[in-house]
Formats: sequence, C-alpha cells, structure tokens
Amino acid sequence: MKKGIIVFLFLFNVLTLPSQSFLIEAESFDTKGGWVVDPQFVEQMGSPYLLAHGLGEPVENAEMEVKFPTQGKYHVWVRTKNWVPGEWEPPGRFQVRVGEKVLDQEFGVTPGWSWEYGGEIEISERETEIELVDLTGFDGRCDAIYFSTEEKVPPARGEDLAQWRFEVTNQKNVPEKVEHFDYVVVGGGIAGCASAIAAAEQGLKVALIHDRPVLGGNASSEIRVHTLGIYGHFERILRMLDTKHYPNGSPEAYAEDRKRHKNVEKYENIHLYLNWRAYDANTDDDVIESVDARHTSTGERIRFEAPLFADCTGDGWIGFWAGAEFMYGRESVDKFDEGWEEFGELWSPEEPDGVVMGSSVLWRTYKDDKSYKFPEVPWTKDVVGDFAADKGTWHWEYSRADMHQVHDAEEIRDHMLRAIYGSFANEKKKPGNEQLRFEWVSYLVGKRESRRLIGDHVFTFNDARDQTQFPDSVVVEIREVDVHYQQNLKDASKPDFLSKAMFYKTGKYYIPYRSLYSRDIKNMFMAGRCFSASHVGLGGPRVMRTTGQMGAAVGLAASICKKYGITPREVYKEHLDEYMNLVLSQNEKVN
Amino acid sequence: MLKLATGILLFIGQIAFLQGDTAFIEHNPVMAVDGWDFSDVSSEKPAFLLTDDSTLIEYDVVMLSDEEELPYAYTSEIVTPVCDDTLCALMNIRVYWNLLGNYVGFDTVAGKPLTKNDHIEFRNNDYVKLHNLLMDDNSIIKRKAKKELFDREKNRVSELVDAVTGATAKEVKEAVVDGALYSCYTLYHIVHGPLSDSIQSDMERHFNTSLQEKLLGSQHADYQLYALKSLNKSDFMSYQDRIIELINGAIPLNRIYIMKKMPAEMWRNVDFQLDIVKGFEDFDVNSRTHLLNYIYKSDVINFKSIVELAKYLFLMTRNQVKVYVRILTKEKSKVSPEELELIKDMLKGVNTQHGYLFNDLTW
Repeated sequence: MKKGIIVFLFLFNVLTLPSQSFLIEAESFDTKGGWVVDPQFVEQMGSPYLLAHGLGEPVENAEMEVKFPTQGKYHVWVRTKNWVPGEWEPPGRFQVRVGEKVLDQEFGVTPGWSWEYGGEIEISERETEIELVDLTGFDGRCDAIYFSTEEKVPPARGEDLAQWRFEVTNQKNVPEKVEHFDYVVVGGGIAGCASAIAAAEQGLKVALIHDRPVLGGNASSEIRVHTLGIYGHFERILRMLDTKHYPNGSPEAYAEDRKRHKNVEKYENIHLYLNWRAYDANTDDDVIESVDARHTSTGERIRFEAPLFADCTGDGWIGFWAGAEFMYGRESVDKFDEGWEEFGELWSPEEPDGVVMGSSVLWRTYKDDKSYKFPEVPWTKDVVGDFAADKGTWHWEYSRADMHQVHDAEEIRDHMLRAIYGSFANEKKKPGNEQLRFEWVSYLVGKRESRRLIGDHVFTFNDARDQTQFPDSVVVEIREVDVHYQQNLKDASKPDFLSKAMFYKTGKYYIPYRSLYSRDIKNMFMAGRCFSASHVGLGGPRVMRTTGQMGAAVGLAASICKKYGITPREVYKEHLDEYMNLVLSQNEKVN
Repeated sequence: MLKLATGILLFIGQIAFLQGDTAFIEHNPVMAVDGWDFSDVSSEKPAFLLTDDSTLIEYDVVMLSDEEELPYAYTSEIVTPVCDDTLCALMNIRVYWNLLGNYVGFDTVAGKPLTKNDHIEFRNNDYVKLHNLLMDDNSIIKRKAKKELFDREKNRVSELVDAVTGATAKEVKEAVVDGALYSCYTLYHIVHGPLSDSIQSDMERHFNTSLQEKLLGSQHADYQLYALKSLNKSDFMSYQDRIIELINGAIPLNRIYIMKKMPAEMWRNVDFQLDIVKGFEDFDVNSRTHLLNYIYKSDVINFKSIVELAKYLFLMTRNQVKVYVRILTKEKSKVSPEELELIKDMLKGVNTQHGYLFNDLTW
C-alpha cells in the first residue's frame, strides 16, 4: 500500500514541483521493528508518529523501502523533538540510515516538534532502504522524513505544516471512500464496545471506529486499568467486555483483551475499524452527517455516513468537531451547589478553574533471574528527586494548572514517563534490586477527565448524593463519588505526579438517559467520561462498568431512533416507555 | 516535631492544679502536630457534651483558651471499648483538636497505656504510628466500613478479612498500628467523626473579629484558609499586608485560593503586583501558572513586573512561557521604545528550554 503511495507521490511531485521532494510518514514504515505507532497527539502535533518505547534498551530498527524520484543529492529533514530538553544528553536520540549510510546527525535533539536537518546525501540507487536506528530506548520519536533536492525547510507546525503536508503528499482532507451505517460509534473503550453490541443486537448495522489495535480503552492491555462499578441493567453485555478485579497494570489484561475481541467480533453487523482515528465530524444545521477517519499507519481515509453517532472517544472529539457545547475544568461550588465542607476547595472551588482530575500512566516490574543495569537517567531528577518505587498504582496521576488533558496530553505522558523511569532508577539503586526489571510501561495516557459534552441533563454530585430517581434512569451505580487532587497542593514537597482521592459514600444513584445525548447536536449520543456531567458529578460514574452501562443504554436508544426515524431527544419525549422497557428487558437476558 | 515521651513523662504530662476558680490541667500531649504547643493555654471550660447514638458513649468536650481568652483548642478524654465483646479492654486516651475540629494531638491517661491485641502495651513507635494515622484526615480507613476490614468468622476481630487483598490490604496495614487495627479504626472514626463537626460548630459560636484575625495570622494552613474564606473581597484590601505574607508563605492550596479571590483592583495595584511577582521563584508550579494568568488578565500590567518575570523564564513550563509571550504581545504597544528595547535585549540572554516559543513573537 505504502509503496504505491510513494510512487504516486513521486509522479505528482515531478509534475508540479520544480524540485524533487517527498515525504515519508514514519508511521507508514513497512517494518516497524521495535518502534510503536503513537496516534494520541495527532490533533496537537499533526500526525501519528513512531515511538522507540524500549524502556531504556534501544529498540529494533524500523525499515522502509523507498523509491527516489531520481538519483542525485537530497537534503534530509526529520520531524522530531527532544522530549526532555535540559542540561543533559537528550534521552530520545536516534539516527537515520539511508541505504548503506547512517547519517551523522543524531535526531531528537531540538525542543518542540520541528524539522531537524540531517544534511545532504547522495542517492545512487533509486530503490533504497531507509531505517530508523534508535540509540537509547527512551522514547525517541519520529513523525516523518522529508527528502528534497532543494534546501528548504518545511513549515514547523500548525496550519502551515498541515497545509504543506496535504500538498506534498497530494492528499485530500475529504475521504474519497464513503461507507454507510445505521449507527457509528467512535471510540472502542468499554462504553463504545457496549454501545456497538447493544445496537447490533437490535439489528443495526454498526461501525465501531477505534484508534488502537486492541479494544477496551483504559481497560485494554495497553493501559491496564481494571473495570469498576456495577452492571446495572446490562450485566450480560458488560460481562463480555469487563475485567476481573486484578491490580491495575496486571498482564491479566491480555486475557481480557482476547475475551473482549472474541465477543465483539462475533457480531456480524459490527464493522470493526481498528487503527482508525476519527479527525472530523461533518455537521450541517446541528446534525452530524458523517465522521471522517484516517488509518493510523497507512493514512487511508474513510467517510462514515450515518443518521446516528455516538461519541465514545473520552475526549469528546466528535462533539467538539460538531460544535457541541461542552464543559472543561472545575465549576464553581455555587454553579451546581456541589460543596462538601470536609474537603472544601479541593472538592469544589469558590471560583471555577481549569483543573481536572489527572491522567495515569501505569507500569509494572518483575525480578529477573539475572542482574540488569538500568541506564543513568539524569533527565528525570527534577521530577522525581529521590523518590523510589517499583510499580505504579492509580495514584500515579498527573494534572497541573497550566496543562490541558487534551491539548497537553503528550507533555503529560512524557512527564509521567520521567516520573516512572526516575523512580525506577532510584529503586534499582537499593540493595537487593539488581534483578529488578521493567515488565511493562504504558505509553498511552490513561485519562480520567477531559471534555464533558452537555446534554439535556447535567449529572451532578447532587444527583448522586440525593439518589435522585429519574423517569429515564438507564444507568445505576453504587460506587462512591471519587474525586482526586494532586498531593502537592497541600504539601509542595510531595512529588507532583501523585494524587489523593476524596471519597463521598452514597447509596444507589441513577444517571438519566438525558445526560447521554447532546443538547445541541441533534443526532449525537455520548457515553464514557465525556457524558454530560459536572466535574464532581463525573467522580463516581467515570469508571468503566458504569460507562459501559451508558454505552449499552445509548446503543438501545439508537435502535428506537432507527425504528421511528427520530432523534435521541425524541426517544425521551415520545417513546420513553418503549425505550425503558427495552432497557429493563436486558435484565431478563442475563445468562 | 513529634514528641517522643518516655513512660515517665506520660504519667506527669497532665498535672492538675487550680488557677483562679477553675480546676486546670496542664496540657502537654505526648504527640502533637507540628507547630502545636499548649504552653499558651491559660484556661479551660466545658464546651459541650456529645453522645454517640450508636454506642451511647458520652464525650465531654472542653475548650482551651489562651491568655487573651480567645479559644485555642479543644480536648476530650475518650473512653471506648476496643473490641466488640465485653471481654476486651477499654481504651483511654485524651485527644486534642484545633478550633476547626482537626486533630492536633493526643495524650495517654496516667496508668492506662494503649494496648494491642492480647493486651500488649503500645511501644513508642506504635504511638508515633497512631499519631501519623490520626493526622491523615483522608486515610484509607476513613472510607472503609468495619465489615470491610474485620473478619467476623474468626475469633479475633483484629484480623483483616481475607477479602481485603492486594493494594488495599497493604495500604491499610501500612496505615495502622500492627496488631491494633480495631483500636486504630475505632479511634480514627471518633477523632474524625461527629465530634470534629461539633467542635467547629462550637468554635463558630465564639467567632468574632479577634478570632478571625488570630486565624488569619496563624501559621496553620487550615486556620488561614478558614479565615480567608470568611473574608469578602473588599476585606482583602484591608488585610493587604497579611495577604502578601500569605501569598509568599502559604501552602499552594491557600496561595491559589487567595489569588483567585483577590479583587481586580489589587492586581491593578502596580506595587502590589510587583511584590507578588517577586515571589515567583519560591512558588510551586501551579501557583506560578495562576500568577501569570492573573497578570495577563489584569488591565494594568507593571512594566517592572514584566522585567521581573523574565528573570524566572528559566523556571517556567512551556505553557507558562506561552502566557509570558502573550503578556508581551499584549503590552508591547503600551511600553516606550526604550522599554521595548530592554525587553528584546533581555530575551536574547534568557536561558529557557522553551525559547523557540519567542520565535512567534512579532515586534
């Protein structure tokens, strides 16, 4: 696939550009070796990229066969960044081999995403192999490589870069391939999977779009958070998707992945699009007409058309692109009257702010049967100090007043990686830990809170505390309202990557269906942490069995929408009895 | 500083004597939170009696006052069973709370040391651990019901239930005194339970301007925040000197609270603004962010503040440097040509990892 694209690009460039130039997207390398595709930050830095996540040991080379337009001299630029700038050797350094020659320049040395110049190289054979050669195993990253006969550096970032990319790769933002469904679910976490299953069981043709190779989101083996909460009315569906209560970070997550995939894949009317990341929601008169998605490696694009969409992205991307109203940060204590004196400002502030619960990056170690030396990591010192640890738990969490959990997610992930590598290095120095090794460190940000899309009802702390029952109660939960704060707020000497939880115990509480569809986008549901809730309201139901309940509930609502050709709101207004009967009937189907 | 008293000290810690008409105990708890010294206590009087509805145990709470006759702290001698069955011993302990009902220390009662299972007496390190547990107002055992921790199938109620496994069991074990889970649990919930709320309510009956100023001037973070919350925005103007002191010396939570509550006219005061900016280096990262944001939002920005902040660019995060760039962009048309040149020169010599962000700045 990629080679075809390269040849096509070459022809295009020959015809339209005075110079010979072409771009290789790193994520499209034929053989990725030990490098992994990281599509988490596309909206911020422009593209999926390859990451050398070797936990301190250089990863195997990524390889690609390239056909140059002509023989001759080419200038080389690599888009990359020094992810920990400072008074030390950049940790994520790598080199590029072109044919037999390894470029002298080491990449990954400049702060901020930019094009690092690799010099001029003589290409004597048009068909040449390119390799990425990792030097450290510490998360070097390569977005793209650009070859040009002209010495002109491409735009560094932003709109200029995006436009340049379209031109140089001859890609169009609008996909040529269009597919049609009854219901498009974006996001393959527990909420998205449950929604796809619930709708598919009612006969809908469903597209489930997910930007990772495995389903499960925060519950997947890539992030490894166990599922909490109760099953509510959807035990049968959620048992197909959830996890046991193993410690967070446990490799038991792999078995749960297999279970989840087997269960989702058995539905013939669920069309699974793994490694596809949505990038736009085309909206007219507050109706989403289609969602565009792009393959995270090949760059292929598809337009998904449907009358109904579910935003299960966690970050509320579909709603965001469609122009839906959303909330972010902590509301003032008075906005929804959510005060709890015991924790005061930590719980709900007098003045609103942009603070949210943080993200976790989980990790795990084991004792090997032989000693192992971990490299020096001076670039972690200002994060960890002398703090030492041999594993991460839920309270390894990062939130900071100047950081947005969506816009700054890469920096959040990177800060957590420094926290992990540094704490592990300190732990290794303790006597008896010579055999301690990393088993696994996630490179995905496990988020708790980001955008919350606004529905006809905003679920708040009061709904949980007062155990308000609604005519459209479709989600039931008993889990405490559990809101986190960073430990360094109360004690500045604490590591900034550790949090504390505040638990408000409550009895059974309910989430209404009206919190699960958009107030202003007429055909969009939301399930997962981006559902309609206040900051404190999210504290309880943000866990994955609960979000799974949300997903299943909207999947069923989608079937009522289809049956009558109506909007999500009209389900509540005109067909509530039928809908609630359908929801409650799920209880009877428990095996 | 934790006070590790010897056994002898435990017994002489409370000496009853008469002061005026009131029987008075000298308070010298064996364990006290940092910064708590009871030598200033000059009088005490009964505050209230609280009965625990579930156990019918009565708590006689006493208010301690300082030499200025302002409330200083509260104390009560707790007597509670340490087991569910009558065979177990009673626990006797004197507990101290501050005026907000937050735990500040405890003392043993003469001749009645705390005991673990099998009536083994607490050792000094056990008292320290109990103190650490009680100081943690958000301990894991706070949110655990008894039934989640104790195995009633076994004779000894102090064993963790088998169901409490993994991280939770480890966290609980780390928090409590080994072999004294039930004592710890019981005492923790007395100390942090309804008594705590009742104490704050009692203090509020005595709350006046003198007490407000005492709390505002206190070194204790919880007192500061309580007093700050009791001030309205215009009161902030009256207490400017203390506000500046607190911005420079308070914990991050309080500092951020102040900055959020400070009226715009305080931010507009160029001298005041500069005073705050000078503290940037000693602020935590979150306070720095709030400071930069409020400077940016202020309709009056002191040129000296801009220059002062430039000294700390090397400490700023990427997003903080972005805010600084926005401040420069906002102000560049307001400063004189000489000042503009000064800023340009200054930026040339700046040491920051995020200097590339200045590339987007047009002059």
